[in-house]
Amino acid sequence: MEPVTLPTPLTPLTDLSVGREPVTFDALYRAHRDRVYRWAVRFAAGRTAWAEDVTHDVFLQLHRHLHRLDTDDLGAWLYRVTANQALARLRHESSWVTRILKVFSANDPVQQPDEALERRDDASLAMAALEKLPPKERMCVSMHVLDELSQREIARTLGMSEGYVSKLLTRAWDRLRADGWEVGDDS
Amino acid sequence: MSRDFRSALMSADAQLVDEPQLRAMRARLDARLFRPAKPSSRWLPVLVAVSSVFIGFVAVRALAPQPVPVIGGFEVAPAVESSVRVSRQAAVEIAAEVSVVDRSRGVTISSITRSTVRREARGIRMLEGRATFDVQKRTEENGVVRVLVSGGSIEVHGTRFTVTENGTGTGSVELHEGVIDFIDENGNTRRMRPGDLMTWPRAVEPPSVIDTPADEEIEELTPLGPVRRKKVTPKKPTDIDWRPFDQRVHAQAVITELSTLRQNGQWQDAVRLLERELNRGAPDTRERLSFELGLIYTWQLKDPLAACAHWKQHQREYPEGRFDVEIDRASQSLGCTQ
Repeated sequence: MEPVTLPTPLTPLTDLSVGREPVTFDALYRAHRDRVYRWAVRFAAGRTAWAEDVTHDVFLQLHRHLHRLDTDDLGAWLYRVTANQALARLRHESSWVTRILKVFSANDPVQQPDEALERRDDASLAMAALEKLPPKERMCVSMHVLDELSQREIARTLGMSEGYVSKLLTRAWDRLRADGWEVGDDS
Repeated sequence: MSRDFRSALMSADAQLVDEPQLRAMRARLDARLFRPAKPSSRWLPVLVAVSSVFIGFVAVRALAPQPVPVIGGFEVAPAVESSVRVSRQAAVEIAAEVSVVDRSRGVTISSITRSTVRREARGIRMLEGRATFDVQKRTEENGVVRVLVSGGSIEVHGTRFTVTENGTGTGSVELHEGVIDFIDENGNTRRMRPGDLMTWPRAVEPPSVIDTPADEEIEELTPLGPVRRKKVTPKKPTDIDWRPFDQRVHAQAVITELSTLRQNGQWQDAVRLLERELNRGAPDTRERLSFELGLIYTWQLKDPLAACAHWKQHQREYPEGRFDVEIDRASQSLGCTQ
């Protein structure tokens, strides 16, 4: 499997080693937690608590699989796990049970009047438009636009076929265009 | 007016995370990931269930009866395991006064002397020694039990009897309760009743204790002089016994004569013989003869008064006797009062 090209290169693991001491989970966590959190915040469309939960789960996975991980490919592994954890959470949120619960929930961030006011500018509106997309489309758009991954890289990261990723992106662009957004020629 | 989604989204992304937010995230995440591990409460019921099952299993194992040792196909009480051993040709040698059980046939063998038995397809073979067989009541399902001896076989329908096998082709069987069939080597069957004694090979006419050439020997050996001098204080002839006899030989002679009397149905003569011999010989022999006398009163003469009185007297003389079980059963069947 080809390694995923990441937008920001991770600190090489050899730099984390002290002498011949093996790399510890603690060292890996402190080196990568900010990046993982940033990816999670993107996928969460700005919801920090949600992103923290994803980051927490990603490092639990790292702790569980550390003994058999290929440390040369650790950056790609972390990105892939973050994306899949985020997608799983988004899909769970989109289930009909969660939607019903959301109606009765007083903590729905979208329903907060303060946030609605803050999203008047384009940036906030773009983030809100991203949040309205279905989970898979939202992940594909986020990875394609913000992390600048190709369709092939997205497909490998999420375990989908390239054709399916292409179809998801096309659908997303159509929705955004219908919402009044210019999405560019290559879309 | 249409807006550029890509540039708007990248602009929003740049504002998503700032340094204070990162610091707060690190503190919260550190606390979550590196806090002391606590046992998860959701596993607690599972833990309790598994522990209960384990404790139950250990308790059942501890309370379960220990497996009974089996030697040569016979169950043996753990305390006397060392008294039983497998000897030649899969035979089992049992020390004196030790019991073994053939569970599948429902037979308890209590050895009186060192005995050798073997489980065979046809039955239990008595190779040597003297032992009492206690056989559970037979049903149509479990069929008869056969005790194989050198002189034939004994078919049992649920009873108690004693087999003596000398290992030289001779032996005897005495029936204490119930009914057994003795089948000799020629296929002749003889039904035995309680109190009967059967010997093999066919017993030769034994010399009488009273009217035998031995008496002539006794006459020759008896010093006449001293007897004559004691005329001043004469004693009953039966009380005077100057014969220098070997007690074991004498006891065997009595048993042999008793066997003959039994075979001939001469029960009154047998009673007289036993009453005469009751005060002679070693204590073990006297106890045995007293037991035989009680059996005749009980089963052959069917005289409950005499039998009950005899059993009472017997138990007074031998309070820890060897035949207590048989005597209790006989007393119960007669309705003897204590």
